[in-house]
Amino acid sequence: MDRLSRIILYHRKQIALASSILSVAILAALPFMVTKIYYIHVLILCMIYSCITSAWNLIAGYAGVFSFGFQALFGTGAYVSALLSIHLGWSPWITMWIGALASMCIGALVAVPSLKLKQLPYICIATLCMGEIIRLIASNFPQITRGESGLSQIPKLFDGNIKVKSYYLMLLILILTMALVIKIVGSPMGISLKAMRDSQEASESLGIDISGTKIRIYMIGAFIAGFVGAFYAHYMNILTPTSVLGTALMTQYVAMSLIGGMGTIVGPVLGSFTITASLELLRKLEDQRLIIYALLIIVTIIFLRNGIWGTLKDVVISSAEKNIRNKKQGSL
Amino acid sequence: MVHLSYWIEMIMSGVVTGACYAMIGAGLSLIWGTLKMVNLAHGEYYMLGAYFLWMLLTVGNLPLALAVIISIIGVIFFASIIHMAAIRPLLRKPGWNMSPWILTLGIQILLQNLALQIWGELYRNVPYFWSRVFKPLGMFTMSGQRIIILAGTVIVILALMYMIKRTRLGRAIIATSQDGEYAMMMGVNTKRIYFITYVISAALAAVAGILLCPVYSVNPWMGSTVQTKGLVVCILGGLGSIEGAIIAGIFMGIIESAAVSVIGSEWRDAVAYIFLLIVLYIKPTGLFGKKKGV
Repeated sequence: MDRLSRIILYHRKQIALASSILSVAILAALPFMVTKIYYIHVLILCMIYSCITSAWNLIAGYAGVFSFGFQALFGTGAYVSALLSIHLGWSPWITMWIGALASMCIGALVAVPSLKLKQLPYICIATLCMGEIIRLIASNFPQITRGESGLSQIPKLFDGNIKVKSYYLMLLILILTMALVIKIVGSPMGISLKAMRDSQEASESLGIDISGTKIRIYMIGAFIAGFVGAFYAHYMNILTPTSVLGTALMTQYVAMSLIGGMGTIVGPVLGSFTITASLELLRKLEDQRLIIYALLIIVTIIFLRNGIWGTLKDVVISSAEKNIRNKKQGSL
Repeated sequence: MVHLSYWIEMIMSGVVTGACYAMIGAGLSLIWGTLKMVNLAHGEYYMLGAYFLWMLLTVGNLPLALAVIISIIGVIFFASIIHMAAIRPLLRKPGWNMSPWILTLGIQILLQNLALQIWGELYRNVPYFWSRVFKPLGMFTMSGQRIIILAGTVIVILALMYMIKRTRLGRAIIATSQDGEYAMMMGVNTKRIYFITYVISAALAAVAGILLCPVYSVNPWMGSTVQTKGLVVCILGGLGSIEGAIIAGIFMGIIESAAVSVIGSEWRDAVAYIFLLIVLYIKPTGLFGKKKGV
């Protein structure tokens, strides 16, 4: 026990690296082991949600800017890419990047006015309104977006074995996203983000450029969300305003981030995989599905305030530290 | 003359919708002021109030007045259970600035889907309370239901203001909202005040639902849009200011009905949201917000 806690405390980086390599290896091997195409589809959805939730967590969990309009960035990427490839006939491989850039511009547009707002509810409601405005734009121009009935027959990214090929592309996107998130969190920018979250006044007095950092982090998050959204559009081939721009998507990423653990790197991914997979498993229950989902959210927020990963981390690290402290005191 | 009557009718219909927003916004503002939380389950109390009334009228065949009273009591009962079971354990614990958002989001999904399970996805209709149609001055028409909505809202809001400004309980609520710890030192049972505030605001939502359900139909999702509007109104009026929420609510109703007649009904919500963003951009504390604390 004592050695174990020592290893956990002093070799955290190595353990993290080893376990992430292991999990990537498992994910890469899964298509060979899973025979049902349906399970591959569920895994792709898990990875898509992991990306959005991680990007949101970067903004909300680390920077403390609770954006409730993040689904609009995902939807912007999806719609821009799909519309360009349908109406102009461009290759989806190019339009995906344009979609991501468009979503980044929208992200900057959202970030600039919300900088003036410092109290949490104002930011939440203002971003929620922006998200809803974008949804209304998508559903109120039927001549371009076909309104509520949605776009269909969006060009595909691959021919042939679509699911498996998409699976590996999505895995690559997930790995790159996670690498970016880890890089940002470890960089000076990540430290200033956390400082901003904990006290805006204190970090401002220490010379952190709050507005600039907020805009930059928002644009990075928006780029990730937009790119994944574009992938989603070309993978699913169907888009409706409710599915990619609706508040149900917002509920999902907030719940995933919370249940996994906000302000941690692993939390959002863990939350996305657990919730998406369990919702798919509960599909047989049909109607009771969302009730169970809601109860899960309520129970988590009451009993595990830091989410699964946050609680786990607290328990393991604090017990390891205690162990070592006791040992040191004994030897003195 | 035709033109004038058209505008008067538009403004009147805006005032009626606005009255509903005002009631929802006042409830949200009351909760924000005292409990310092945002209640995303607020719209569901509106929905429950309407459903209870529909059930009591059609299934129970009760007289209207009795049905209204029982439905309000039913919603109060529900709200107290939720307050005791879910909100009290988290109240004022660390992380209180964020946890209510997610907690009440969960409650919202729960209540919405329970309603869907119990009552199904059919849109239900409640008959008008008063089906006469008036033509004041012979210029514009106004249904009796709209007069009831307007009168009901005015009475409820005046009662609320009286309760807050004039009674001991109201003073205790104001004291708690200004400084919870200090109020506790002065002998206010803050736990009880938190409970009462939550229940009062749920009752306000229920009254709004009951008054409006004959005009709009009753369905499990009716709470969501109204709630978003309530939040917008609440921010527009300055968070925590009940008077601000009431004025902003009526203002918002008029702007929306103007937007419907000028641009078209599909842009009604977008106009409301854009209006909020413009206001926040010019005055980040909302129209009637105080400078401090932002």
